[in-house]
Amino acid sequence: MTQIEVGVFRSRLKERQQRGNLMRRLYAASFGVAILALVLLGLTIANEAFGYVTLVYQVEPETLSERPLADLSAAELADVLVQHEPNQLPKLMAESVAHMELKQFARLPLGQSLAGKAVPEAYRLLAPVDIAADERPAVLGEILAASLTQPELLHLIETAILQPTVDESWPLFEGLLNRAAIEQRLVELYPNEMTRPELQFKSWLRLEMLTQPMDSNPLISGVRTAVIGTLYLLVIVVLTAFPVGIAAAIYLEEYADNRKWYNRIIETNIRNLAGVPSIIYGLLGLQLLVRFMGDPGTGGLGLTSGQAFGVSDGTGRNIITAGLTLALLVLPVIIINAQEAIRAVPMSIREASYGLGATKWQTIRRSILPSALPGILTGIILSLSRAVGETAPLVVVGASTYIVQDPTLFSRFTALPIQIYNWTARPQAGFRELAAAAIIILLVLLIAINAVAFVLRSQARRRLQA
Amino acid sequence: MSMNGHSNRAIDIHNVSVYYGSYRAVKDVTIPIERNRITAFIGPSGCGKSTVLRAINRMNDLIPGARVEGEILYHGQNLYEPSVDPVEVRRRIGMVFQKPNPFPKSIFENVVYGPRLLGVRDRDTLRQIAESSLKQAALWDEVKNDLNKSGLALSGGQQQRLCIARTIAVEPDVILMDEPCSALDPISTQRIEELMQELVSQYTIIIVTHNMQQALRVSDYTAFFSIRKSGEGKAETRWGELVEFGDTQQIFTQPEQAETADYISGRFG
Repeated sequence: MTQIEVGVFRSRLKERQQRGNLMRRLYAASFGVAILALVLLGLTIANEAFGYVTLVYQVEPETLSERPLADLSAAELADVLVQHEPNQLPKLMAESVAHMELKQFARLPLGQSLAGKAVPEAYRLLAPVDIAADERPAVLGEILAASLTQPELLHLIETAILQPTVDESWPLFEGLLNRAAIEQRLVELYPNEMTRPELQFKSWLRLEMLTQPMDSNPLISGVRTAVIGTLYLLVIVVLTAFPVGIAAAIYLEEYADNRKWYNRIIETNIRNLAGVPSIIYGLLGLQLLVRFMGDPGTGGLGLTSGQAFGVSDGTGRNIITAGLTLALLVLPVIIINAQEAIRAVPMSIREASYGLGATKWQTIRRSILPSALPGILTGIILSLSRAVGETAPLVVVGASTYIVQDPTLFSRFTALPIQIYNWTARPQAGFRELAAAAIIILLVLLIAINAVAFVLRSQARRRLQA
Repeated sequence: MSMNGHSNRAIDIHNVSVYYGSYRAVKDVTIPIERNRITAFIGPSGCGKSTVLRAINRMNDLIPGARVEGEILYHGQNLYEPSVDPVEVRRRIGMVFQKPNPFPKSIFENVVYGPRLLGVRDRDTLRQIAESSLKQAALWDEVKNDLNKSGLALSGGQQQRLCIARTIAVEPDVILMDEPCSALDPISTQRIEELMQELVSQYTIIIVTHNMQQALRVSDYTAFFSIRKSGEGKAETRWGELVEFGDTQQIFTQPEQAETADYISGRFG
């Protein structure tokens, strides 16, 4: 009898171990799928953001200088401009440097029209019309060399003289693996070897994108205005959703009596709100913030559109309304996470505080919040990441897609995801690749935000540990 | 039981019943607590001794639905009168818990937590309070060089003495101890017991303990609680009652109730 029982146990042990091993393999496979998806994502983005292009120039770079333009100094670049476009210089400077009409630029002293640039002292009070016509190119060249940096001059030459456009574009892996076919196609397109453009490697991701505004030419278009828009949105979310969300969580956990039916309904609904599609928040933002509180032209209060603060041309489709919409969107996530964190603070800590004669607020302020901080920060990381990546509500609230001037709180604006969305939809060569580069910038921004929050969280956690 | 506050009484527990919602956990407990003495509450699990202890400094108020009937007089003042703020009650009647529960802060911050609550800001004053409290709790010599170390880095016994120092720092005159040694090893337990003997010259101490030897060693008075039942099956209800209160020596050597004698000799509980 004993023998049989031992035997039964042994065979069942084997079965149980096998089941365990099977599960382990399933878990490992799931993990593998996740990693594979991540690697594929990375490769796809890299494939688009880098690649091969043929460029067509209005003016071939070789004709301007024997050396590569990038190697020239600021003075040499200014000289190239003077040599090549002597008569167009005032117009160029008016439009690309001073951002004004030529007529206005010609009559204003240079110290005023080029305010903020390092205009040499001697020319500050001089207006372009005051300079003799034959001396004008040389003098303006001198001013350009002194007042613009080398990259700025390079950008000016590119946009004003070279005017490169993308002729054909190939993604990275095709360019690497299928080079022969591409060369073949170029020969077919350009039978004449003299006019055949050169196939060259192109990194669509450029550091200068961060400082350049948008442009209709993907080669020189940057994301400066979109990055500024996104950062503004984040600041608004941080300043509004975090205090409100944490305060609401404190109220629900510490003050509200959850035996009351209405408090339970409120809590359940907050949980449901966290799952509402973001476009619905966009509609809420449009109706409440843009229309009702915004544009007086459509009967709004003029609060979020800026009329109440002296801004005359606001429509309510601005960073304030978009930021507040995103704040509404992430509010439930913040509340839920903060609630969980507050609930996880052990009763013994509360009792210790109350036992010393602390009031409720003192206990919350001095014991519960410090202990809950790491958990609250986790929710903040989650919600910030979500806010940065949201596109749909911004589309509904009315983000613009082509913004050249740095946005202000009440001006028209754009944001990185909007820009990416818009670029991926454009048919011209180069914009899809530019979108991939912008995605990398968005990801880096996300990682940077998360890193900051992660450091804050581990510091808060370390403070709580032995 | 006199209602006008005996001069040597710290607290008068008078006909106290504690309810959680409609459930009566403890019924009609009456215990006089002598000033500068140690009173022990003993009894089997579920007999309500901790419930009564937590009623004394209104800790039960933190539990939704908890309610106290009867009177707990402190200097002749009923602690459950509407005009009494539980926050002030808890400062004067401090509490040490079963599991050492230092704040996740430095040793120094743990001790001055209470004084800071009361608005003490001056660094030197706080330092003096920390030093004298830690000295009274017999912990100063062990931690004086690392006051900035986390309170959680201490051993269990040291943590419990830190909690005592923290309680002392707000100058209470009664200290409630809810099984303060149940999570500690015998050597740490002995240190806490010695400490209680030192503290009792300045404070009135009430201790709940499962350890009858401990009650016998440290206390001057003992209250023995037990469980009462009524009904059968699903209708059965249980509540705690005070069986006997008296001088510790008398309770342990000549108890008046047979139930007390049975419990003390280990026949039940």
